[in-house]
Amino acid sequence: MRILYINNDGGGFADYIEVPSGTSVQQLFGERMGDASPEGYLIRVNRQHAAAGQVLEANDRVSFTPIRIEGAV
Amino acid sequence: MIKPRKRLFRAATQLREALLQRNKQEPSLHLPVSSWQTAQSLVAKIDRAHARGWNQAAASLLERLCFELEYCRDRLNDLAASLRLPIQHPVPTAHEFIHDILALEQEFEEVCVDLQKAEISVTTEPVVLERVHLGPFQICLELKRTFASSPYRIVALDPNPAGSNSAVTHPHVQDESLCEGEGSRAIKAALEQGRLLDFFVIVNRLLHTYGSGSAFVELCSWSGEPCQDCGRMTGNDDRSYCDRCDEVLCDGCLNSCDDCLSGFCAECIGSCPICDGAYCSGCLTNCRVCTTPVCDDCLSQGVCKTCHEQETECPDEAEAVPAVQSHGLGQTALSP
Repeated sequence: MRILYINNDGGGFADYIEVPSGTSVQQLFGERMGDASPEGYLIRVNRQHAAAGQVLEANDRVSFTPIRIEGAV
Repeated sequence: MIKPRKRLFRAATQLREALLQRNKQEPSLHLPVSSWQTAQSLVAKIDRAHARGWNQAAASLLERLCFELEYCRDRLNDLAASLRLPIQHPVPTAHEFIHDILALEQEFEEVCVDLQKAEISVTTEPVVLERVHLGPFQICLELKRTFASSPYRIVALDPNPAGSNSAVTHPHVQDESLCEGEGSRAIKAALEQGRLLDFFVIVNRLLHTYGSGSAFVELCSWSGEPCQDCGRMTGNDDRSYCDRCDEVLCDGCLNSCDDCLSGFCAECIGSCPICDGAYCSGCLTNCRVCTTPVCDDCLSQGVCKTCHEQETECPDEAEAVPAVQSHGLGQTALSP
């Protein structure tokens, strides 16, 4: 199924991707964010805070935004 | 808050129109002139600090110069990149805007949409970084200028600016401009794609994160004042005041009088020309012979050591005391 995946870490990424039906938020995070810890991110589905076990649906808008973003680097 | 739904739809439509107009605009050719001028000023200050031996002040100024030069470099790179690439960014639907605005109302204390100016502003919760209270901030975004280098400003609503620079209301905000650092590319992407919620959330996280070592003013020096003699920022723990002129001094520039032990700046401390000790004007006494101000240790019976030595070495040259008798006017008797 197709979802809108937004990663606001680093350079920023926003595009539609294909994921298997039944994919959870936690699974998507693990696949896309590598060793990053979910505790360090604001995780939203359709602009709402989402639980790790929430199962994604077609055309969902998923975003990962770091909680700590340092200015003036 | 935008209510009811019809007004919200109208707002979203007009915001979308603003972004469509933006896409028709040429990229803004905004050179970092102000930052370059700041760099030039810093170079002049560094030269003066080196000439006066103020090494600590020079090091601090060099750090600021590095920041300004890196900022100039990044802005020039961004401008060059924008000139090379054509602008073809899809604008979100009005439906997307409505959902973004509704989500912003849940995320922030206050959301304001100015349709006339095509401007959206949100108010953050009060920002506290390392126990320094900076107050809430308003993030104001001009939709028609989202391709510009600074399409938004950060307004301190209850400012607690840095003691050394009132324009710095947050370690990473100066003159209402946020230094985006790690968030720069994500902000640019969000603005180009019209993802308003993401833009405001990213900026909000930047305001709630402290990057030590790369701030306009570090939090450890937030309530600091500059030393009058060397320019170094002093905090509450290492700040002193001249006992005579009351100017701020750092620990390194505080000169202690060898007699009364009070602290003075370089202008107000003097020295004894005989023993070269440091003394304030109150602890120096004029020699009654040569009138030179000397310390008490170098003074005996009101005469300084130098004059004493001269009297001892050359007694014949001691000053003659004329004895003039009224009946012997015109004649002078020299006493042996």
